[in-house]
Amino acid sequence: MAKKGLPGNSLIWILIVSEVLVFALGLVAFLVMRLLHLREFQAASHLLHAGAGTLSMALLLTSGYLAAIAQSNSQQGGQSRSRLLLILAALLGVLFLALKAMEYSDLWNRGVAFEGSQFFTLYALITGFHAAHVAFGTGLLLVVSLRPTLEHVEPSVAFWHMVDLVWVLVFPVLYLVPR
Amino acid sequence: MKYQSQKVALAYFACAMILFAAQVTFGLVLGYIYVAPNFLSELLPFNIARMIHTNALVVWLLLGFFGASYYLIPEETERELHSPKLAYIQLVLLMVGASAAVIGYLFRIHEGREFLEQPLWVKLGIVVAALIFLYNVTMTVLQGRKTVITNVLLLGLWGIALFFLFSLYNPANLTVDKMYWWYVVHIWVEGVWELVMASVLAFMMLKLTGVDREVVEKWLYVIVALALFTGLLGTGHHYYWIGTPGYWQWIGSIFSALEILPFFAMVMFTFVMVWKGRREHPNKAALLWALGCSVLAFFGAGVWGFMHTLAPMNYYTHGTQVTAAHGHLAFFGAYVSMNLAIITYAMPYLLGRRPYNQVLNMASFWLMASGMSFMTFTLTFAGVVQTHLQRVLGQGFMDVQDQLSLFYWMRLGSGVVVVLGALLFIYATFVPRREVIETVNPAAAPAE
Amino acid sequence: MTQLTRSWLVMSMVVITVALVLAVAPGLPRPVWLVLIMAASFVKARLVLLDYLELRHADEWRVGAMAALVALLLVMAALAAMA
Ligand code: HEM
Ligand code: HEM
Ligand SMILES: [Fe+2]
Repeated sequence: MAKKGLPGNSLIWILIVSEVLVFALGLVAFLVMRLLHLREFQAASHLLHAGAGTLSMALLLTSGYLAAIAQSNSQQGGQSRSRLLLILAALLGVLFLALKAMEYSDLWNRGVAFEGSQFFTLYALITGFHAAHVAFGTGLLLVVSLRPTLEHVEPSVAFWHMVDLVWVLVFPVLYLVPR
Repeated sequence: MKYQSQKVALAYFACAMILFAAQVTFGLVLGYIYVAPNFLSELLPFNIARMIHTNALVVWLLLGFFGASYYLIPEETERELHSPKLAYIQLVLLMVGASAAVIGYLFRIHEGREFLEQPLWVKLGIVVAALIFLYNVTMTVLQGRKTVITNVLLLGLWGIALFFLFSLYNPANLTVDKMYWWYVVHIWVEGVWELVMASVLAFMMLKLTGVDREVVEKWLYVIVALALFTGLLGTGHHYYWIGTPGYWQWIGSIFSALEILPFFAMVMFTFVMVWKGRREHPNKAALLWALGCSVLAFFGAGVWGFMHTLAPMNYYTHGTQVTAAHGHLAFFGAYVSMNLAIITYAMPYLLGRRPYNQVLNMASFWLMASGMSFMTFTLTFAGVVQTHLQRVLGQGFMDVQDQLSLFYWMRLGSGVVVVLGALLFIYATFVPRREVIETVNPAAAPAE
Repeated sequence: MTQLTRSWLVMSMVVITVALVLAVAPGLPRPVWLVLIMAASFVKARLVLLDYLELRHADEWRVGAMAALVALLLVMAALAAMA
């Protein structure tokens, strides 16, 4: 790879771009459906916890920070430090998932039907698909923490940053815009 | 031809071309029934002729894939095929099965699901043939040089066999039945077949343009990643109205909208390779087919697919002539053209000749490509009119059909052009001119 | 302090700011609110791309990524501002 070129494996970038495209289409769809069902969206948005969304944001950004330091440790041969940081990053991922589960169960307990409401169908699809990526990424971080060489760490951490990036876009659109 | 066992491909290609001729001829019969509905209505009803048209298509495309694999795998792995004998046995099995199925169809022995009408025992025969094939090529690859091209090809071929297994399961619940049906039909053409297409195109680009293998491999990875990422969940674009939950409308619309990307990447790939290429390969016709393949696939699958893939659009166009327009150009552009490309490329080597009948072959490309494009346009117009009259204004199905007859006549006309092109192609590739007697030294075949 | 740490701090500040505004002044005029959240999104996404995903020194890739990000945020902001 040329010095100023794309960092890391170019295949992971194909994945990142594809994923961001999928979420971007989902979010644009969400915003268009909001225009068609303004009342429903505004009412429904007050059932979401903006606070939980914010906390999720902080968890993921911090986790990404730890993962990034882990990567530079792997680069400099500090494998045991890298391992520790990767495990910490994964733990924050687990916390994110726990928070998400609480949000879902809270909505469920308050009688939200995920089908039949445009708002909650899209909310469930977008956040559910994102959460599936968080779960996968968490597992990935744990797996590479077993042998944290740069070659293993770099693509997994890049995937993890993509998950961050997506939440940066998802959070405001789902939680903050329809209010 | 560097390896003796590559010769197996010749038999496969020949059988494929026989079925190709039959397939397009039955297409003509269908097209004629559309304008003269009583034609052969006792002897060969529309539904039977349609089964033969579509089944022959799928079987000959698969024979082409097998032939292409038997041709390129020895060259890529740098060794002879594991067992040419098994390859011939497999071919006999397939041809017997296909003929038995067709004869059975004529006597009204068939199952009900489109494309998968073969009786169970024919399906099982296909599975056995597929196992023989996979054993043969996998052994060859395992014992030889491993390349990205053969890896992707094998992935695609294994996928074809794996997803075909869903055809053996026919649940009573119609919704579930349809879901499984699409696992075969959709995941074949918009998933694993794309892998075969990409790797065969990659092989041809390598040979025809002389671009470095590393560059070709990089593109191949990108195409495969995009195809699988979009195509698998893209299956959702068939789950809009079959009784599956509503969220499929979102999943299907979003992922299938992105299915245009791998086809776009293949266009970029073939053209960039040709621009970058340093080699002037004498087989210009093969290059024309390869480029035509990526471009027509982009239009037929990518653009025509996108036209009706979003749920609010498909709500109106579902199952109209728009679908038939897309089906024809997509199948022709992607898989027919890809097969004809590799056949055009391989035949001179298989016969030990310099490229021959180039002009005739290229003429057949333009005949078929323009015939197919015209057919696609007429069917698209027919589909738009049909959608409006039937789905918007609510007129009855047959009343609408009556008003479309002009389009159906034009479809028949373009079909005649396609059939002429197909016959010309078969002549040009299988009947080399007599004058060219001296054989080419196999070693002179372009290396990488 | 490394660039990475600085970025993480900036992003954290942005998150806290939005949370505070939400808690203290929930009745902000809608245009102001939308500009605020989209700007917050831009800052965070930009830093994730530049320092987490290391595009800071990747010349034309960086420019392309930024252009795509801005375009997406503009589309989303426009849709959010309608009605
Ligand atoms: C290589 C060329 C061809 C390919 C790849 C091809 C492919 C197909 C496919 C995939 C279908 C099923 C479509 C669907 O389910 O929507 C089909 C049906 C059909 N094809 Fe072709 N075909 C070819 C040539 C022709 C020709 C030359 C004609 C002649 C006019 C023709 C006429 C028809 C007709 C009338 C149907 C039935 C459509 C219906 O049920 O309404 N095809 N073909
Ligand atoms: C080479 C690739 C492709 C081939 C050979 C192909 C072929 C076909 C065929 C034969 C059908 C009719 C199936 C039936 O009998 O009901 C069909 C349906 C459909 N295809 Fe494709 N297709 C390809 C790629 C695509 C792509 C890339 C898209 C989307 C971007 C797409 C979108 C659709 C949709 C939405 C339908 C359903 C139409 C309906 O509701 O009636 N296809 N395709
Ligand atoms: Fe499909």
